[in-house]
Amino acid sequence: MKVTVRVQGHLRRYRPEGFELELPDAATVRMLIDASGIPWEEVLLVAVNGKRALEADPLHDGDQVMLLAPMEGG
Amino acid sequence: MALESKGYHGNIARVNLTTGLITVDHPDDEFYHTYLGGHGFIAYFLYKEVPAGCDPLGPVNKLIFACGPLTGLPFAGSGRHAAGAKSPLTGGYGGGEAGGFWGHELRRAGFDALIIEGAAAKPVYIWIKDGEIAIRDAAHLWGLECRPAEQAVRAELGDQRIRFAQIGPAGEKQALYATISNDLNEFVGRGGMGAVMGSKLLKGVAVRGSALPAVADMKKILELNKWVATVGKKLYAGFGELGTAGGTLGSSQQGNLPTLNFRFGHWPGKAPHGDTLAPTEACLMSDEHKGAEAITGQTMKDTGLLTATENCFSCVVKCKRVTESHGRYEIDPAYGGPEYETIGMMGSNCGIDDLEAIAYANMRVGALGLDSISCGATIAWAMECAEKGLIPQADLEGVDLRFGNVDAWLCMIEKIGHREGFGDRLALGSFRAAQAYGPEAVALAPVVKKQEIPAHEPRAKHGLGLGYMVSPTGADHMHNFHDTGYTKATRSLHPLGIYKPLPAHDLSADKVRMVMYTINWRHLQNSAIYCMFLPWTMQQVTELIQAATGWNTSIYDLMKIGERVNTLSRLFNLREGLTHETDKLARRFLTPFESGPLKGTAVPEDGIADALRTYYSMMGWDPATGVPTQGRLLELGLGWTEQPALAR
Repeated sequence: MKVTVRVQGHLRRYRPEGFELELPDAATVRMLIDASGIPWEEVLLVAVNGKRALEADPLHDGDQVMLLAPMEGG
Repeated sequence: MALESKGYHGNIARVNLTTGLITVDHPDDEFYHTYLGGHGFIAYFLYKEVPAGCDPLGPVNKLIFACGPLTGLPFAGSGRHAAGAKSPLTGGYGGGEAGGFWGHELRRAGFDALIIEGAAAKPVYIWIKDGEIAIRDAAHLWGLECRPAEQAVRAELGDQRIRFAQIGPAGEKQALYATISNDLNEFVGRGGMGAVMGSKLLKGVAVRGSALPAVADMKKILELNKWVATVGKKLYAGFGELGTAGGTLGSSQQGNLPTLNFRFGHWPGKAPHGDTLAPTEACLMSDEHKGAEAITGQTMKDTGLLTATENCFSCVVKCKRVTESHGRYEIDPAYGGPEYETIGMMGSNCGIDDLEAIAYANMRVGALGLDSISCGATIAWAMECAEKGLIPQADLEGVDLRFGNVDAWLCMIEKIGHREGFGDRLALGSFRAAQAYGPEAVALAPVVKKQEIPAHEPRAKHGLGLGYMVSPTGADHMHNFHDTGYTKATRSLHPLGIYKPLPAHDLSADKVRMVMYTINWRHLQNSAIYCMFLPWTMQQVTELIQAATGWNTSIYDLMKIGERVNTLSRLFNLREGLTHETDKLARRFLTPFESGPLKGTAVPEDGIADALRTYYSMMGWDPATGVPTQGRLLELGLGWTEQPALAR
């Protein structure tokens, strides 16, 4: 399956632009993070199709995924 | 005796505006070792020299500009200085830090700090050039907004490279959250330092110089900077592209974005499903983030509103926004562009989902010299009270002050800046304005120690909530702990022995330890001074300070300096009557969210009270009253202070 990934905040240091990822069927959110090249520990939250997702949640073909970083200063 | 320490001039200027007397102190090495700079200097001089119970807007209060040993050195993140005074907003320790170029220039002009005493009889400004200080007439500058004032000063002194720290009309009129701005887009924003400056009839401080103090090991500083300029630049390129504004959408998705006077933590906008709804209805009905997406940094870039990015002195990150428009609004790029705080506080918190309007509002608060955090929070508070009928229509003078009304919101910014009509009351901040409208209105003021909470939500980060409660400046995110950075790993805290990540909603003793260590390090950071947006590790900061000063210092020594500054500012507050009774979050944050990603989540009242007692005891403060114990004062070298009574 293919999913589209966008990256927010400080995570943009690793992947400044959005990108597509080809993942095996039944891949989970955690597998996507590991495949993205972004350190798992720095991903605060994941939203799939605009809704908050857990790392064990399965992904589906065509999902829009957003990886979120912690927000600190201002 | 000559100063042995490197990295300092050994000169702290005093300008008495009542007498016109200008003198220079030459503190010894022990003073510099003990208080370091920035907030360390400010806490020391405020505690030592400002009499208890003084009027913050009277001539006895002192306004202190302070650099640290790192200010202005050639490495990324060094372009910062601090300013502080007794705060007219909180009645306690006040101050903040600003970026830009002014601190660097003050250091080049030969001074580590500047203490302003007394009050002038007529408007003046101070001109500092290479060790020389003059008090000059500012009658022709009084009343000017920041850009024309800066232009006039540069023109009359004949130097376009002068850096000018100044107040706008809001500071002249002593709005209680007036800023001191420098370089037009950098601010000591919180606590009303601009009002203190206005009370002294001081329009600004112009600086120009040519010689930084000698450092112990310039080669080492340049070597460290080379690391940050290569590794750091690569790491931070994406961050610089969208700046802090780029985090707005993610903040909403985390339930962290202040929305409609902090009633919500997500911002669906006014038309989440295509229909235009009242903002409150939209937030209750929708868990979407379209409003946040409309005002986030990516949108600023995609719509062409963002025309450039800028950096502070010697920095590679370029996190500063520049916006320009000649469309619906005329936006002058000289005032920069909105950062995350301004977008959250002036935008979503007021029910606004129009980014061009927010960029315009950002320019107006910059030109008037108002803190966008307290200004946005106070207007949002008034909007909620007006919608709930808590403020009589007559007081609103015909302004339809409800969430999302752009015209009313812009009108109120002008009225606050000029202290006209209802704006005169709002210029006192939400807590004081609420006094006229009864307990329900007071309960809606989102404050700690009468200062408005910035754009980070305690219900999303409980340790941050504790940090707001114990912050000497009132609610403040700049010497605070942000839980969400430590939920999976704690790498930056490993040097302090903290290895276990904790959830953002944890309030255990382990979390309190994390909060306390981080806050103390932040006080060090704001004394040194360097920017939190660079990836400097504690070890590297220690090496930078060693290279600047020549001291054999360590992370332990620096942590103790941070703790000393934190404790000394606590002592100042206790003396001014800000006891543990004021270490409280507003009721709103103890109330569960009604919708959004954190629906049902509140800061637990018992949990946060326990965490507060644990924080006190970990700090060596009395667990019931938060008064520092004699033993801890002696250990920190603060035996010269007067320990407040442990009365309960």
